[in-house]
Amino acid sequence: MTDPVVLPEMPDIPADVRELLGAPPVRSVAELKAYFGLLRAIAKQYSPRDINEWLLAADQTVSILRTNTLRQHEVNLLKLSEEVVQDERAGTKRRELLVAQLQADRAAGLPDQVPKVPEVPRTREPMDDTRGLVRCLPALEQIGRLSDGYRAQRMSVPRELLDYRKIIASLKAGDIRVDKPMIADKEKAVPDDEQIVDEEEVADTPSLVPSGRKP
Amino acid sequence: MTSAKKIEANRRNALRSTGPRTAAGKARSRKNALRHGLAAVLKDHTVVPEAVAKLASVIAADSSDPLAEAHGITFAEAEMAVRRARAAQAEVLAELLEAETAQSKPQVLVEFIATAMQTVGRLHRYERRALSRRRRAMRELMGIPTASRAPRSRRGFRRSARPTLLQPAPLPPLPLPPPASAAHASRAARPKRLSCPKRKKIDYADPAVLERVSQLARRNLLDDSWLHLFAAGKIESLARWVRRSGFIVWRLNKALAAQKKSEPDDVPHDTS
Repeated sequence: MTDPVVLPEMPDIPADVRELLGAPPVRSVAELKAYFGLLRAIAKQYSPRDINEWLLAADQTVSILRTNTLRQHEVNLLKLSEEVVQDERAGTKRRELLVAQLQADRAAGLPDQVPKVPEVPRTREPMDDTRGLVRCLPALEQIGRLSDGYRAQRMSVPRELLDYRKIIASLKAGDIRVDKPMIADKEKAVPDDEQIVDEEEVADTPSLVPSGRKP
Repeated sequence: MTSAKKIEANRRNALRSTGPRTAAGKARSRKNALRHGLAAVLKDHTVVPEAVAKLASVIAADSSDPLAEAHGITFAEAEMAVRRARAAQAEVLAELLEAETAQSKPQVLVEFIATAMQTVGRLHRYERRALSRRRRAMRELMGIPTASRAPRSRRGFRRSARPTLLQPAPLPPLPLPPPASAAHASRAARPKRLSCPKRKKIDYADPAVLERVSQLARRNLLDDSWLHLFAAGKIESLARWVRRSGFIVWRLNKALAAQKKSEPDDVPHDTS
């Protein structure tokens, strides 16, 4: 039986708000602690005033956590891409040794049998091919799309919060103009046509390294 | 091919199978097609779960709108859908973490990660939709009319470049009047402004270009320093880099294959 998780006291998150926010979408104790730590930091920054603002803060917390998780998986994948190639190389080497042994046995007049060749250990060599990377591309592509989605979600929260506060303030002051909603105006500002990007044109750019990003 | 005797035996056996008979069996088989329940439609709208009712009452507490309660329930239901989608994503990611520690074969692990990410992507779509529902409910609760989206152009076409079938024939150009003033004349005499030259396409068949591109691709993707920067959060996303570079590698291989194909054989054939 696992011990119950003991979380530190959180006076900055009221008990009723915690109850309304529900169970955090995490599966491990470390993630749970990270979730509440992040939520407290965001709450300190925004000072949420009602449950909707708390929900927005929770949205941002989840997006940040997910982005970090995806980043870890991305790093793992890039390491795995090296291991895939190392595995393939070790397999090829072992196959060559097997064939050589078999030919030597035949030349010596021995009956055909699978020769005993030890496992070839993986060696860390400079990567001069991209086979492993090509194997990982579908997963990396998925991660990229997901990261973009979470990032967009995260970036939309401050704007949404600001709009919400403006509307609440206008409602209280009684001078809200219903015919020109603020949120709707911002959404219409960027037409969809401007967002179309020709993938081939992007890929054909001569420089792969942007200025200032070189390692 | 299956024999007639076997087909007959199968049909006879099938007559005996009439599905689950007990209440427990029926209850279990009801959920056979259930995957995650995120797209489920509630049949009984009269019963509001306790958690939904509680959140709805808090959300709609300050509103004087007679429809506030209904909007509050919509908001709370959308929020619950968001939570369900997030919980499902967390479950998949936790499974992935377990697999990463248990599985040692890199090839298997790579495929597992790809599948898991695809699943998380699908679940995230449900989350986004539920968030939109929640946002809409909040606007309605505040009395803000929801804006209809601007008409979306067909994918891949700019609005101006979209082909139209019912376009009338262009009118012939009108003859321009002569320039009236000296300023106009000088403006006309000015050399025509040069347009921006088009971006030069990379010639992938050029060996120097091939070498340069492959060097860059290798350095960007496989240098450990990139990984360190990325893990430290200095670089936002490596996936876009990899996507782009992967495309270039693909083009590179294609160009190399084409080059090999077009090269004539150096060794002359012995015809004697």
